[in-house]
Amino acid sequence: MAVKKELIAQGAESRLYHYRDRVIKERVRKSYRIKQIDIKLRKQRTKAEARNLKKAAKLIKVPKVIDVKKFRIIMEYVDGEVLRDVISTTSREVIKQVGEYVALLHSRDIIHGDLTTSNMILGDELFFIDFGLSEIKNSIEAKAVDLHVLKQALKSKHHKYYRNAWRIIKKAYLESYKEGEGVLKRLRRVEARGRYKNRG
Amino acid sequence: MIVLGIESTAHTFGVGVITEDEILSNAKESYRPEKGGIHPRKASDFLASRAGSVIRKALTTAGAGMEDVDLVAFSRSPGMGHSLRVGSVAAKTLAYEFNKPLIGVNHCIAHVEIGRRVTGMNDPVVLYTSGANTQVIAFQGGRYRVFGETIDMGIGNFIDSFARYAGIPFPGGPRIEELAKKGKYVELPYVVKGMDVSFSGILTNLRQKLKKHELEDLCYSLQETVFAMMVEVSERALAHCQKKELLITGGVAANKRLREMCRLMCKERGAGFKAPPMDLCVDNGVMIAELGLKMHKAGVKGEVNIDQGERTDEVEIKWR
Ligand SMILES: Nc1ncnc2c1ncn2[C@@H]1O[C@H](COP(=O)(O)OP(=O)(O)O)[C@@H](O)[C@H]1O
Ligand SMILES: [Mg+2]
Repeated sequence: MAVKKELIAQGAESRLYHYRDRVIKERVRKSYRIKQIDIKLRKQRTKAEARNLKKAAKLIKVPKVIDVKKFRIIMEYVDGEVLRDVISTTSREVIKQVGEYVALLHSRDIIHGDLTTSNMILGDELFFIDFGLSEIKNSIEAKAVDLHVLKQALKSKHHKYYRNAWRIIKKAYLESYKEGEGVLKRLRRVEARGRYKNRG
Repeated sequence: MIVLGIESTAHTFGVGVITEDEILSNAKESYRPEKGGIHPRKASDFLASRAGSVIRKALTTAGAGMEDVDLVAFSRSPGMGHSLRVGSVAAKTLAYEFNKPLIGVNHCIAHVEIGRRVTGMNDPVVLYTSGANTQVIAFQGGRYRVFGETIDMGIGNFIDSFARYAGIPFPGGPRIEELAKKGKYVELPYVVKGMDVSFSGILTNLRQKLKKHELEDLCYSLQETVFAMMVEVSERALAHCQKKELLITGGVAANKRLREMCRLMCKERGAGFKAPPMDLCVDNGVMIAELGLKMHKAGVKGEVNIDQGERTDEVEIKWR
């Protein structure tokens, strides 16, 4: 008999089902992209996500990986809400923790790759999820871009809390990562580059 | 109410005449450099040389004279300084000469607003793809916010640069689209960071491959790769913002393959997808008139000094 799985989310690249205390994250085929690219990305990202979830588990709170297939990860279900939906009532402590989590990941050269508030779950504790775009890279540039994604995510979706949140996150990041200063310096350069000079 | 809008931020001088119910005319002329990129001075000289005739054509087609116009709007930001100045002088001259109210508007937001008007979409995620701009924009907390963008070059400039290296004349886009139809896939880097994209590494990689591969194959792979990246970040924005519609605009929206990919993505997620007609996707005066009209009706004064670098999220949106 088929087990009852409840679709909990249609993310950007996957469908997620909740089954008992587990989440099944399946990277589905995207018909808009050609097979060669589609299969490569789904495979790569599933692999990267599983591998880096395990690495990150030693540093911060992430869902525990239970099983990995070609395009599918089975992981622990995290009971809570995505930070996106609860940021207006989120405490300063939790925001600070966001900065600490990123610092801890970066200190081990883990680049998350998609640091938005849809990829953070707040339950009894703060969890980071969605390591599909993550990579291991000892690079100031990559870490700066990671922070840029986070900053932009806050600014665009949570502009009301952005200034305050970003200040807290920066401070926590610097306190928990001794090379943080260099990354923040590079971030300013990344931003100057993307900002436009002569758009046409 | 009759509004005349003047677009002049880069290489197009466009004039549109509209009312609340109708688009009466859409005249434009674009500078096409023989080779290389756009030279700011040459572009603005070209725009100035065409300004008079384009204005006249727009009015004639609309069947209106300047006496009938109730508001003059122009693109005051963002763009190339030289070009912006041409549009600003033209608009100010008309407004003072005929004693009409004048309003300066933001070019990127004009793209969004004309898109909303002609597609009827109320609250879309917007994929804005032009020469120097590649942005994923959505309305959030009273402003248009940039959720994702290129962290180096714009998609149009990327395509034109590749065309230049490959010896394809400007504008390279249409020819690359043609060549791509006969191509096979060659692996290229795929660079997405959250909702941001990056093209410069792909350009370097393509350049190295020019001698070793068929041009058709490179064109095909280029399109499949960078368009997939843009569609992917658009989908990520739809999921993150929990919105249900995608609108594509900007000059690169002319590409049929890109449109098809957007449509397929939206169909799979049960979202709506629309694109304005092509002459309203590229830079045009109609969109400037449309935004001028919306701002005027909302009682926004609007600045009349130019601002080369104004960001999309710096503009307060009082008409939504
Ligand atoms: N382990 C989990 N426990 C509970 N909910 C989860 C878990 N993983 C993901 N989700 C939910 O599913 C959504 C999409 O998951 P995510 O891994 O971010 O997929 P995508 O890569 O498609 O964005 C999340 O925003 C969250 O709401
Ligand atoms: Mg996600």
